[in-house]
Amino acid sequence: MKRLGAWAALAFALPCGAVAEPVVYRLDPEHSFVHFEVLHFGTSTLRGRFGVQEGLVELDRAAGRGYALVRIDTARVDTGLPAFDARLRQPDLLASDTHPQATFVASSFSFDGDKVRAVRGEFTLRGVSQGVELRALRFGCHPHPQLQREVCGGDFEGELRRADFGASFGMPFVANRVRLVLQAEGIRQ
Amino acid sequence: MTTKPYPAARYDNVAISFHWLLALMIVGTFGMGLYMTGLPFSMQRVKLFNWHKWAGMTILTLSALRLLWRLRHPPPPEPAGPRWQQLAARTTHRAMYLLFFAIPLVGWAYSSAVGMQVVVFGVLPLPNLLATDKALAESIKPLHGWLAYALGTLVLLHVSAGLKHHFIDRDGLLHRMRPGRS
Amino acid sequence: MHKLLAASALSLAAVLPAQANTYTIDPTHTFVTYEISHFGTSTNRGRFDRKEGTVQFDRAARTGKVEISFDLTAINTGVAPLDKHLQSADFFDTAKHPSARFVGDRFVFNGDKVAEVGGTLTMLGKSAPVTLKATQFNCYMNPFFKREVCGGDFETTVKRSQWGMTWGLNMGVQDEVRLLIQVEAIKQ
Repeated sequence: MKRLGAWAALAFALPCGAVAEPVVYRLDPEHSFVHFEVLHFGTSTLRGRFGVQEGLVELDRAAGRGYALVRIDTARVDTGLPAFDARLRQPDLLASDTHPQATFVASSFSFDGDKVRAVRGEFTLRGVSQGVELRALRFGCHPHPQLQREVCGGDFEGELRRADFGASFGMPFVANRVRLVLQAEGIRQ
Repeated sequence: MTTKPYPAARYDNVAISFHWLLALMIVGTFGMGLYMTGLPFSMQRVKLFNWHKWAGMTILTLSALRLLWRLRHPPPPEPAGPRWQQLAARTTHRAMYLLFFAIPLVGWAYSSAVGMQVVVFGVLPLPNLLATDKALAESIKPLHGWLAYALGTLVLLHVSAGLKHHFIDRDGLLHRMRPGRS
Repeated sequence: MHKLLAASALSLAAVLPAQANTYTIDPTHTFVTYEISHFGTSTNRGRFDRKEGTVQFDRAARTGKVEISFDLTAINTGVAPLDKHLQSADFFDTAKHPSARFVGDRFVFNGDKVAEVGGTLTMLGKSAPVTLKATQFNCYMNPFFKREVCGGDFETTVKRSQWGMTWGLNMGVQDEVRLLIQVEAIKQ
């Protein structure tokens, strides 16, 4: 049955693959991070960071299409305070024990010429999926100094309401609205 | 030769085309659904989920056209047989038609509730059936799969019944849906 | 006679210590994050995880003073080899200069809120002026330790070459560094 499914998948893929010129980029973990910002007591901004465990982006500029997938290890949240990191890993926030991964999967890209303007995808945290839009603050490409390969990427921002994912501890002292700031650089494969 | 002659009653060519095209698409999309949910987190999985949604929307559209055609071009009279058999056939067909619509609609609704607008073939954005609603999304999520399995069961029943009629009852039933000359 | 008394009273008030309240910087809600452009493509960030200091400010007199020092060996970019490189003589040279210190005594108020803090940042043995602009400032009563907490978000952009940090300038590594500061201080 799975084989039939694979053949069926192929049958649908053929027309979609017709005019494609996709380029695949693998996100460089040294230059790809997901930062989050959340307001504390309406006074100052708490920040934290996640590294990117795995990230792949496929861009087909000619067809104006793109796909992205990003995987984050929620246990490795880094706020600069080990005690706070441990608190965030608890079941009522990141729930790292039961949901060690958060993912972002996107197939809706918009372009400004050759540059990515925005990416709309599904962010899954604690097993809950919600649509999130990431807007490019800047996007560009440069040659990798050592690997002699093209590197493309940029800075993106988006936001979500953590209560939508069931991580509502601390509201209203710590805000519901979380700003996401992503640094992403992908090395051409 | 003791085979029965071709029954006079037969579906028209358009109905036959719809039947086989949608049968292929539905089985294919179902298979795609099974396959893709088993894949590890990968680009292939991302793409298949996308294509699955596009295929679902295509099935929804074609099913609507098919239903319209059927309403204006009634199918041939039911073959003779015991009453329970006629009732079973009628019920199965109606249930299948219901699922042809319910399954893609539920899928579309789930996508909407999650806040992921369906953009068919990457170019045609569909309106969201529901406003983004996390709780609703959670409750709809398993429904699409259950309904698909229900349709799968009905399809098996449908195919078995057709084969039974044709090879056991030897009443030439499959000729009603055979592509070819009218 | 009354005029003289009034004048003396005023001058006495000026001499007596005003409502200068001292706040201790809460290291769990105070961080400095730096941002620097990477090949014009994306932004590299790093954070200083260990710091301590005090703030004094007087809303009525619209004055204040902040002294905060950062342990540069606790720089954290999320990329271990980069942390090491930053601590080397190419950048912060933490073997010789393990800390950086900011002293700000030019407080600019906008009503009750601090709008700007001007001061001097000393790093790598050099001092240069830095002006921090508040994007947010607020005071609140913390329900957990039942004390007033004041703080906000400040930012500024500096040129690292002012402190003699010139590595990479000829290789396309930027001179400009943006600093994002979260600060909260608890009233003593």
